[in-house]
Formats: sequence, C-alpha cells, structure tokens
Amino acid sequence: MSGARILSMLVYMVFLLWCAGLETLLGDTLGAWTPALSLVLACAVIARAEDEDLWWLVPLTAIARAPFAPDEPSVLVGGTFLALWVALLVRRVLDAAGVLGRATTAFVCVASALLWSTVSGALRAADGDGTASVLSMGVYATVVSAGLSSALLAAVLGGVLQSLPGLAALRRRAW
Amino acid sequence: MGVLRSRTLQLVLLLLCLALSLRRVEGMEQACAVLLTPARYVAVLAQPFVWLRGRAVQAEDGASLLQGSQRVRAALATAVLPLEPELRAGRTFVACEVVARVERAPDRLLVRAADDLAVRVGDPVVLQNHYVGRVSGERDGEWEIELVTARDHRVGAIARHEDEIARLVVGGLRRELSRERGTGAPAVVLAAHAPSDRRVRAGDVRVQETPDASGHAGRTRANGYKLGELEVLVEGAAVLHGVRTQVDWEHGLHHVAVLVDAAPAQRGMVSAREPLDAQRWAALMSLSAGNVWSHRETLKVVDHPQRPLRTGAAVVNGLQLCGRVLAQSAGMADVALLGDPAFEVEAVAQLDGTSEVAALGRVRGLGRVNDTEVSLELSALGMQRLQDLVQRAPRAQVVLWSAGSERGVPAGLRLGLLQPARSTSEAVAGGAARTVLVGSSVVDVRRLSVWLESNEEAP
Repeated sequence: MSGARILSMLVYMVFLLWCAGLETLLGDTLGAWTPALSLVLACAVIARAEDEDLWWLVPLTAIARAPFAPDEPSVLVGGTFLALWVALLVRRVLDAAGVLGRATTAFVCVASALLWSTVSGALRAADGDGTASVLSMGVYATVVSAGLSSALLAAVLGGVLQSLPGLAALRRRAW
Repeated sequence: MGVLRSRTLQLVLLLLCLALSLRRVEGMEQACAVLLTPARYVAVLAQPFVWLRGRAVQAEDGASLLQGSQRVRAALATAVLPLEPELRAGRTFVACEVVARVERAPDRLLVRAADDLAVRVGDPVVLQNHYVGRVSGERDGEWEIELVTARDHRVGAIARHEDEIARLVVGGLRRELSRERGTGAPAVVLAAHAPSDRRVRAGDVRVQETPDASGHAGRTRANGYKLGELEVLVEGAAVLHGVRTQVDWEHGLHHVAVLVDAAPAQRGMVSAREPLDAQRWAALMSLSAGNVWSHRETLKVVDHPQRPLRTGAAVVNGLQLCGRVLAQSAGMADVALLGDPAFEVEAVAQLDGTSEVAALGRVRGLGRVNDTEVSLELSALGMQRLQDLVQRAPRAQVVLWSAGSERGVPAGLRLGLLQPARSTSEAVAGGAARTVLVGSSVVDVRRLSVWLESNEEAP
C-alpha cells in the first residue's frame, strides 16, 4: 500500500469526523430530517472504490463515527459493515456517478445503518442485558426522513463529495 | 488479493458480525472495543463542534436552583417523620437516604445515614407512621435494611378491632405485589402468623414487641407504629390472616428514618448524600456535542481506564440533572441525556417555593421537543400524584427533581420545570403511562460533572 493511499485514508477519516460532528449540530435544527453526512461521504468514496477496499473502509468509518454514535461497539461495527456492504451492492446495480445512483445508495446505506442500530438495540434490551430499547413507531419515521434527506444531499452534493481534496488516492475505480 | 476480493467471504463475515451483535457476546464486544480504541483520540479533531454547541446554551439561575434543591431534600428527609404526635414522643430519629436495593434481594435496602454513629444493627426503621423494617448490617459505609416484606422477617404485633384484640407475628408476603384496580397503586399484603384469636378478622395492626422476646431492646422503640389493616384471605380450604400495608414499597422508599437510642443524633434529619459537596463531583470531558441519530439524545465523554465511570451515575451541569452514564467502551462512555429513551430516574414533583412534594416513581425520557423542552413519561400512579399536587395550587409552578433512592443519583438534582399549559394526560402506547413536558435546555457539554459515591475516588 502506497504512502499516498495511507495519507488519503487518514484524510478520509478526518473528513468523516467533521461530517459526523456537523451532523450533531444540524440535528438541533433539522431533527429527524438531519442527513447522515458521514455515511453520504462514505457512499461517495465507495462509489470509486474496489470491492476489497471494504476491509479498511468499515473500520475507518466505524472509528470516525464512534464518538458520535450511541451504539455498543459490536452494533456500531456490524451496522457500519452492513451499511457499506449494501452500498457496494447497490453500486453494482446502479450507475454510482448518476444522480439516481448516488441518491439510492445513500438512502439504503443510511436506512440500513439506522434500522440495524434500532433493531439490534431492541433485541438486546429484550434479552435483558441492560440495553435500553428505543424501538418505537417514531423510529421508523426517522429512518425514512433521515434516508430521504441523505438521498437528497447525495443527489445534490454527491459529486462534490466524490472529488474532495486529499482523497484522490482512494479513487481506484473508473466510472 | 483474490481472497480479499471474494464477495462470499465478505458476506459470510458480515452475517457473522451481525449475528454476534444481536446479543451481548463479551468476546465480540471486547474485540470491537479494541478496534474502536483510536476513536477516543481522533475525536479530539472534532472538538470545535463541542465548543460551537456549548456557546449556544444559556446559563441556569444557580441561586434559585440551590434554594430549590435544599428545600426539596429537606422536605424528603423530614417527610419520613411520623404524623401522629405519640409516635414522635421520646424517640430520636436519624434520616437515611436509600441508595439501592441489594442485588437479587429486593426486600433489602442499602441506605446512607445522616449520622452513622447513632445507628445500630437491629434498630427499627420507619416511614412516617409505618414500620418498614430493621437495620440488618453494614457494608462499605452503607447500612443494610431488611424490609418487613422479606420472607424471614418477623415482628410482634397487635390487632385491635373495636373491643377485640389479637396478638400476632407479622412478616413476609402473603400476597405478591399487585395493582389496585383503577388507580394502579401497588397493593402488598403481609403474612400474619399465629394470631392469638382467629375470630379477629379486621382492625388496625401495629407493632408490639417485648424486650424479652426480641433480644434487642431497640426493637420496642417501634411499638405503636402501624403495619397495616388486618384482613382475611381465603385460599382453597385455608383461611389465612394478612395485613394490607399502605406503604408504596416500589417507588415510595426514597428516605426512611431509623429509631435510634436516646443519645442525640448529631445531624438529625438531613439528606445523607449532599449534592452540594464539590468532592462528590468529577469534571467530564465531552468528546461530542450530541449523536448522529436524531431519535436519540446522547453524548460521548472520556472514560477513565483505571476507574471507569459507574453506569447510572448522574451527569450534571451545576444542580441541573443533564443525564446518566449509560455504558462504557473503548475509553469512552455514553451519557443518556434527559430526552433520550434510555434515560430513567426516580423523581419527585415539588410546588415551587414550598416543601410540598409528591413521589412520581420512575420517569423516562421520550425525546427532546425543542431547545428548551423535553417530553417525559410517567406511570399512571405518578401522573395521578402529579395531578393531585397541581390541583392543590393550580397557579403555582411545579418543579421535577431527582428523588435519590438509586445508586449514582442523589436527591435534589433538578430535571426541569413542568410546563403546565401544555402538560397532557393523553394515553401513550399501552394506555397505562402518561407524558408531560418539562422545561430543560440543551445541555452545555463543556461544563459537565459526574457524581461519585462516597466510596469512590475521583478519576
């Protein structure tokens, strides 16, 4: 692995951290409609990555989101793995460079991460391990609204996120 | 590279990862916590967002908070004294704040006494006019109390009904905790053993111990304290005597009083855990200003590897309760803030500026409504008590405070001001619970502290 590529990974993590930090601020005003900026960025990177890049994308994305996610470590890692794997799957079907492809990838990625966080939390709570269940009808509305706002963001700004400075070494896959 | 490119391998690992995160598997949690350890350090790069969030928060009025907290703690500590004058005469009381129930033994309480020197094992414990149990031991600076509901507890008693008298021994449960129809109030029936006259089927049951029989002179101090109302229960062919108590064993035991020897108690009727004691608070460093899921209200703080934060410990800004420590991992701890669905606390309501309080039981966060209000869920009984309190002074403001009675949260931390105009009694899911809106501003994440019990050291 080249030095430029390692540097790009670190830059990617810093961008993710800032995106997640910005999400926490936007959450005060946008509420359930807050787009999952960090996952939209991850989708933008995955659009130009190869399949094997998932091995480093998952841990880096989980590490950058950990200070902002209320999930237990295994739920966060599992949810991130699921979200990025689903994004990779959608990319194989749709044109990741197009508006529809970007929006769809962002929607399924955000929705699957949020659903996993909620459902696994509820199952753990039912298991009596002390985890609090936060499962309610409101959560499903949040899944849809966060997914839609993220899809909109990806459609509008996805192109910009795909060409952020410092990430050139991560773009291995041609359109 | 071929192996790494394998989609099948990715899918298998993904499914394994998901399956192992459905339940808490300690090995998996530890492995993931190790993987996420760098997060504790790289989070520093996102500190500007913590500062930005902190600047937008208004400061609370510290003086009124302080007065209110002192008043509510004094009210809770003195509310344990008997209302009948003859039950006060010639007796010395020491207030004890309930800290926790003993694990796997819900009939045993751990309490902190306002004056440890005065308390002895065997001393009776009362709540207002009611006998509730006996001091049964001491551990780590806390007194253990065996409640009269414990299976092996026995106390001599006398039942009076008009001219009839029966001597009996009371202790243990005749009937498990059930709910009164309509109000949802807890109903507990104690077992009454060996009644001297089985014809007595009703009446007031009060403690009547004799020094000779008990073996501990202190037990007679509780003579005259009420146990409940005698009743007869028919179970198959058996006719059993029981004593229906009027104590809220589930959510009403925030403070109790120990009847001590006549030697004067040094501190008397004060709350044992003092939230104004600066040594009991340790500053927290926030790693985030919030979280990425809008239906949650949590934040991450730095944990200490040698002395991890205690799960359930109160997190405050001054005397304003902001949340409780939820879990720890990877050198970080999650704090569930007031509006988070994982936030729960025992609470009391107070008519602002007075000593009138009502125990609300457990309240739970339902979500933040806006920058200044959160929605909380009460039990049906808690809601009824709150409405009774509001009706006593419809124009007065009502403040919600922590009630103590659980480890990590002292009494007298403010949850917020009840919003009277918009409080609702609409039923939420399940029909038995109710919601209220409480004024509570967005948390200033730069000035947070966590509560340390007196047997804990600051990180």
